[in-house]
Amino acid sequence: MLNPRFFKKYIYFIIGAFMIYTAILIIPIALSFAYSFTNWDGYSKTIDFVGLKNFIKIFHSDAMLSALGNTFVFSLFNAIIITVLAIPLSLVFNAGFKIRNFVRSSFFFASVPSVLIIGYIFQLFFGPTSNGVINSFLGSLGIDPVKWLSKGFLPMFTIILTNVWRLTGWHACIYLARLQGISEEYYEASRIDGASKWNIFWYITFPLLAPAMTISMMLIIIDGLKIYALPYSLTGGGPGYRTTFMTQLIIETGIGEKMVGKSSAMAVVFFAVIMIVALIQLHFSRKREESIC
Amino acid sequence: MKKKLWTMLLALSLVVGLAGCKSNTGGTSDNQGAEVTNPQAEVTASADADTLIEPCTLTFLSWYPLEKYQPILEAFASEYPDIKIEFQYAAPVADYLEKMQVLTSTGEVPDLFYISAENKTEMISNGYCADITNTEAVSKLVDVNRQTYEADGIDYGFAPTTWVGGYFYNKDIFSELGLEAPKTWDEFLNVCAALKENGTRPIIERGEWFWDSFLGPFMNDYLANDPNYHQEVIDGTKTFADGWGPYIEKWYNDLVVPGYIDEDLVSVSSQEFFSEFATGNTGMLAGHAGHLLEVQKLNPDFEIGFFPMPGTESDIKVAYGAVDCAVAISSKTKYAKQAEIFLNFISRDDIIQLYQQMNGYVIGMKGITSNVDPILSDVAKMYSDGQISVYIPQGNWGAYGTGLQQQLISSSQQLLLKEIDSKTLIQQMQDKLTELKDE
Repeated sequence: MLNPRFFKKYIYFIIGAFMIYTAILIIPIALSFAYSFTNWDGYSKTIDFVGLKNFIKIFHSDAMLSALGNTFVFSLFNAIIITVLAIPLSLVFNAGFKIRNFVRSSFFFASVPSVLIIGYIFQLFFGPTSNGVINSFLGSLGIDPVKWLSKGFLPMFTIILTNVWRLTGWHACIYLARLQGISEEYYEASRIDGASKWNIFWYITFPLLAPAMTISMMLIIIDGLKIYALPYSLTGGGPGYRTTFMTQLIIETGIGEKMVGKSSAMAVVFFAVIMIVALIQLHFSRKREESIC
Repeated sequence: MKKKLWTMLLALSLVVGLAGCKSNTGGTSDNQGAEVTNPQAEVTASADADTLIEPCTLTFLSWYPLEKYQPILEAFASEYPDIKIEFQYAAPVADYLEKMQVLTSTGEVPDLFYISAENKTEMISNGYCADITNTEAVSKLVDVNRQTYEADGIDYGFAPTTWVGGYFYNKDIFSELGLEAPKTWDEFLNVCAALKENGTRPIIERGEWFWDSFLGPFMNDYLANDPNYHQEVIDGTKTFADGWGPYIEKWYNDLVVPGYIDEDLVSVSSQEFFSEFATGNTGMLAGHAGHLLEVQKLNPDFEIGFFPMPGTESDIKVAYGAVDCAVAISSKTKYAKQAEIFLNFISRDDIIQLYQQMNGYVIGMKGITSNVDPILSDVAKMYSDGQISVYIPQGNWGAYGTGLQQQLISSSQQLLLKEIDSKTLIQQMQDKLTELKDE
């Protein structure tokens, strides 16, 4: 509950931030919602109201259904794999060894460069010809080139792999921050009781990481749902629509196809879906935190 | 009370400071893009323009980066020191289109900007471009270059260069295998077969462009006899099946099935596109002068030849290519005279050579010789002499160009991976056009 005295004292600063938040977030969202009922092309000064036509169209679009499916598949696997890897990695970060800081920095560094740059670099790694770095290495071992970015499920696998490489270190640092806040008394007591290392991890460390997991999972899911630069630079959304994600589809529909009304409708639907996913995720995470407390 | 007042003032100054961060976009004003019912603001040459120039700053959104435009800007600045150019760059194509769309919707169109095949219809029909018909620059253009950015008899863009493409080939490999540059489609297929048998990839093209290898027969056998085909498809009097159908099928059977174009191409990046050819792993590269420059940077000693995309007969009537993007003047600029001076300056005989060095393309202006790479001199002359025209699909689909191109990329990738057949590709293109027109 807000302290009224606090609120009155700093309201003038809050108003400024709120106005900026409204201008750059609330108003564009509201405008996008309005455009979703129109046929605006992004250039014309005349806009016609078309009712629910855009919403009906997008649910009959193969591209939209592919993009929605791809986005959720990516987000799900992204979240699971990063979480499964980041937690043990955070335990390594927390261990006492000489080059610990160097190891932490090395893993964290992957999340620093621009996602687009990472995508273009990994495109060279996974290139399909013998000039591709990985295929060149496989060739030296007498193995045929692999079509990393075109065959079957490999394009999606490659995008997930690249994103896991990019974010695991950063999320391990989130868990590390929480680990460092866990009281040593729990571990001392468990060691006195003769608990094994696995039991210590499963019954003490893992439950107490719940708040960090809530934040980490939420960040990973948000990152996964709004991803654009990485698949765009790695595969361009292809082959076909196999690695087209919602954000790319919205941009291509609005800018390339000049159907801002339709792309706004896609954005509105996507916004609603993300809100539902976020609320479900928060609900279960909070429930877990409360049960542990 | 005093504390409250200071707090309010501080908060207000923060908000006002941010509100004042609107950038200066030169002479443009609000109310851009009014629906056109009256003729555009006309930019006319004035005999006294040069002596009565009001100092100003022209905003210019460029399709080309600053380092390439620098020589022209420096030359202009030395002759017209009172006209400053505020240069902005957005990378073609998607980034540029996105930036332009945002600027038009906010009423902040620069004084000078580029229009291209992808957005010219919208920019012209919504009144963003000034009429430059009577400018000295436009009067120097050859018909093809002038007409590309013309609507209802009015010229809106100055497009001085044209890219003309085809296949660059590795002369060393060709010589080793006793091959010559093919002049017909059958000869082309024989070359592909010989290269593949030798263990050399016949053709390299990027994942978004490999469909261009169907264009040779389509352009020279069909389009040359029906140059209005695309307008007929848009109008609904013809379909994609009528013109494209047989040639997509031919491309699939002649190039895809034998493996001369294989699934690898779906994910070939720009870097691999150049390196595969420059390192001798590929016999032929489909491209234009800009690509040639990149290959030559990677391997300066590389012996390269060129031939236009062949049809079934030996005479080339249409080459793979397009008139380049055009410089346009904002219809609402406050500095029309100065903008026209800049446009005319680019069209000067000496300055247009600097312009041509930016892209290496063919100059489409009367009486001007293009200083193209010797590898492209024959085809450049054919274009300059009017013996051939140029074609690229998305340049002929008007407002639907980018949308149809996106569909073509997606469908061709599915076709190459054998997930669909050529009839399905044609149907998807037709369905996409219907969807785009429905808007």
